Amino acid sequence: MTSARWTWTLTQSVAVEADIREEIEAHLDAAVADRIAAGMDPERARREALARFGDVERIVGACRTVKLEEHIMLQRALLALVAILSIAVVVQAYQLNASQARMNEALAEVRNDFAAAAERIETALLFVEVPNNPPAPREELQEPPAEDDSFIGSGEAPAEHPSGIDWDSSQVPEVRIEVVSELAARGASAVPSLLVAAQDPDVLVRLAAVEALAEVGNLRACRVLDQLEYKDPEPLVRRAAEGAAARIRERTTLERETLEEGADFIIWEPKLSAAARFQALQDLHAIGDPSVSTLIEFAGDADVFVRTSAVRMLGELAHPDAKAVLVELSKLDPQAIVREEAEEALLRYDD
Amino acid sequence: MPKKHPDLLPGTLEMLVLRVLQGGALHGYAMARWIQQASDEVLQVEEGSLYPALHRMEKRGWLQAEWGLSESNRRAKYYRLTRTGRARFKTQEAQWEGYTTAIGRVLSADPEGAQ
Repeated sequence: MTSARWTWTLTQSVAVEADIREEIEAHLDAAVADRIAAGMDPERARREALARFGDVERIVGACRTVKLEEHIMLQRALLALVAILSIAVVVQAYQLNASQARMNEALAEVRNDFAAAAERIETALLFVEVPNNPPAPREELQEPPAEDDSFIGSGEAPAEHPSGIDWDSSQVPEVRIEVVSELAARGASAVPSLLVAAQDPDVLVRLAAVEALAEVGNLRACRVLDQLEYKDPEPLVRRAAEGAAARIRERTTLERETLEEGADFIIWEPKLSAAARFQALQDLHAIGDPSVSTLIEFAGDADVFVRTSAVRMLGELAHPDAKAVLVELSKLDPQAIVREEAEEALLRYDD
Repeated sequence: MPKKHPDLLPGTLEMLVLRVLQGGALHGYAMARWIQQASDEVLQVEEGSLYPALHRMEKRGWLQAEWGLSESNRRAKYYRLTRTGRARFKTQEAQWEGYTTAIGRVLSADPEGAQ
């Protein structure tokens, strides 16, 4: 009810009551006057008139109820309405609160899912030591040494290695062993230098290099270790090379499975950026020996750089399962760079 | 011992007011006095109870009220019958007559006939 309405009702109520009282007062005055005229003393006349009239306040109340019946009913109805509306507001507020709580829970769930997904990717990528420098082009990758008698002790270190440490075979063996320890501490980037060290003339240096490769080596290192296993003159080095190659293969398999699981997630998670997918592809390459099926999926990626990179890797593998895909890409890919890369990859099949 | 002034039957006060106002506008005290005198002092309404009835009848449209001056030159509220009030009186009067006639017949009938 508005304040104007309240004011009107109050004013009306006061006016009605004043009207009733005046009417009753006129009645009593007339009754008293009649009695006085009949010889009654004024006090008794007033008392008798009041007695004959009845309870003045009760009569005033009854008259007021009759006069203001509608207003009273309206007031009660409005009070009831206000009460109902208040309850409705409270219920609505409670429901709103509950709905907000449910929304917060759902949001928290989404956040948790996102955090879990991010953790999963990070875990997958942690298995791979990402080199500080980008992977070398295929032509520059470390190739296994030629199978000749000069295999052991003929290795020459590159002048400037990705590891940042020059291999100096002119140093005394103790120093070279120290250098191998330092290289091992640098992780995957030191593998090319360690491969050179694994061909050192000194048996202890070779042993140290083989042990280091067992820790940080990749599948390409395995090819060198496989040759050491059969060709090294020292049985101790041969056994160490065999064990190191086995450890690398076991670890790499685990890493590849984990990474491929992550790669599946990346490929089928459209919200991840092309940069993240590209990085995952590079990580697959860094492990070495990536799965053909995973690379084929990357070759169908929406991003041109991811496709180009995947096609190049498929070309390196020259796997029969990938040929049809490469043929299709060489003809149908909308980007010329992908088509050219696919054509070049197909040339490998002819080699 | 019977009461000297019997209570009015329910609904009869309104009928008496409608009857008394047939003669013209009156204030509440005059109405009470007229009923008392016309009934030879037998019907003495509790004067106060007259006012809620008057206000209710005014609200129903049977009476119309307006302030005026009494014979003693004092402000008093006068009530007069409306057309609706007159029609209402005729209806109530007929009902009352029918009622009293029926009661009279019963009272004068021979109870032996019921056996």
